[in-house]
Amino acid sequence: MFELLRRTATHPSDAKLAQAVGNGDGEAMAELYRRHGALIYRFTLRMSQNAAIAEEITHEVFLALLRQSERFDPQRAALSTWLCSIARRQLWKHFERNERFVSIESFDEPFDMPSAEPDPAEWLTRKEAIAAVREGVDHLSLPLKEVIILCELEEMTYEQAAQILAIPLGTVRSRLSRAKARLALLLAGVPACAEKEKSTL
Amino acid sequence: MNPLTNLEQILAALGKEYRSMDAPVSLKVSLIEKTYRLRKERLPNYRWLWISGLSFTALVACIVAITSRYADRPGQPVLPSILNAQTTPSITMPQAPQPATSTSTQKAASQRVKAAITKHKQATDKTQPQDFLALPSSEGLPTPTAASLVRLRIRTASLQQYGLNASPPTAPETVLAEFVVGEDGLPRAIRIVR
Repeated sequence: MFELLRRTATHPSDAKLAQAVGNGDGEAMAELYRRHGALIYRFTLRMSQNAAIAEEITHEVFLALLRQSERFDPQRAALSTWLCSIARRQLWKHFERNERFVSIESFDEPFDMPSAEPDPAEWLTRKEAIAAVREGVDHLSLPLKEVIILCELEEMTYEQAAQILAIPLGTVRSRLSRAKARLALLLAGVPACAEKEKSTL
Repeated sequence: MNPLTNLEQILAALGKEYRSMDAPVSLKVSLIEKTYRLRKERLPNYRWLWISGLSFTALVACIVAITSRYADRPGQPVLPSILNAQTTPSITMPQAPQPATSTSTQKAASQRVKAAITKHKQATDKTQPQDFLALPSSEGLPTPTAASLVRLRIRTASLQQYGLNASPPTAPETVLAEFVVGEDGLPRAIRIVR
């Protein structure tokens, strides 16, 4: 009981901190940045593949929190979800400005192998497989990529991802399934990979 | 091995590596600075709020002060209606001739006073035995803005000094009278109580 009270006093909720940020509390801003800054930065960095853009958008997201903290409703979503959805909107605006928009209709386009290695058998060791998947994620279309980042890399629930992406839960599932299928293509049909995996396990 | 199972393992490893990444510290410093700057920007608003609040309070205080100044003050006599009518009545004034120095203006004023008294008499209760009578000696004095009521027993003969005509054979030796005294200390009206 006392431990709970002590923890509540020393670890204020995101909602309280957001309110304090709106009142100009720098310490509250520092604490919220410590809690959620990395998530926003990683998401924007992975999506844009540009550290400068990731920093700029992360900065804008927290400035939005500073200026519009009263718009955050803790009953509707967690602060991390709210911040992520702002980051996503900023990202898409950026992509549209820079004509890097990838339409949803382009999902079924042929998927290029990220590597130009001639022999797949020599291509995939486990380390290389990780690198290949990483590169494969980078080459996914933006709608598939954001689902993979949120659900697989950030380990968010489907519900959280649906809130951030403002799409139905079923759409999240189907996009994730398609993204995984495309990434699996990198590993399928490469016996060396399976054999080496067996030996490591 | 199923490529999808392999993919799950690879994604898990990628996620672990991915989540170890931190946000840049330079952004944190900049955001803290901007948060404190926002507080400073908002401070003048609070100051204006205080100023407007104080102004409103001062305005209310002024209104209350002015209202209380012009309100009826308890403990001070209210002017009799005969004085409010700006009169200097002389009902039992002796039939002495008007002084030679009286001007046409004074005569007109006297007529106005008489008319006011007549009107007042008609308005007041006729069953009242005696009302205030304007003293002839107060004629020409300015109308007082405040007055006091003084009750005293006075010799009948002394009434003559106020310009009143008492009949010596029938009048008692002393009478109880009330004087309306102006703020200058001069009597303006009299009422015989007994």
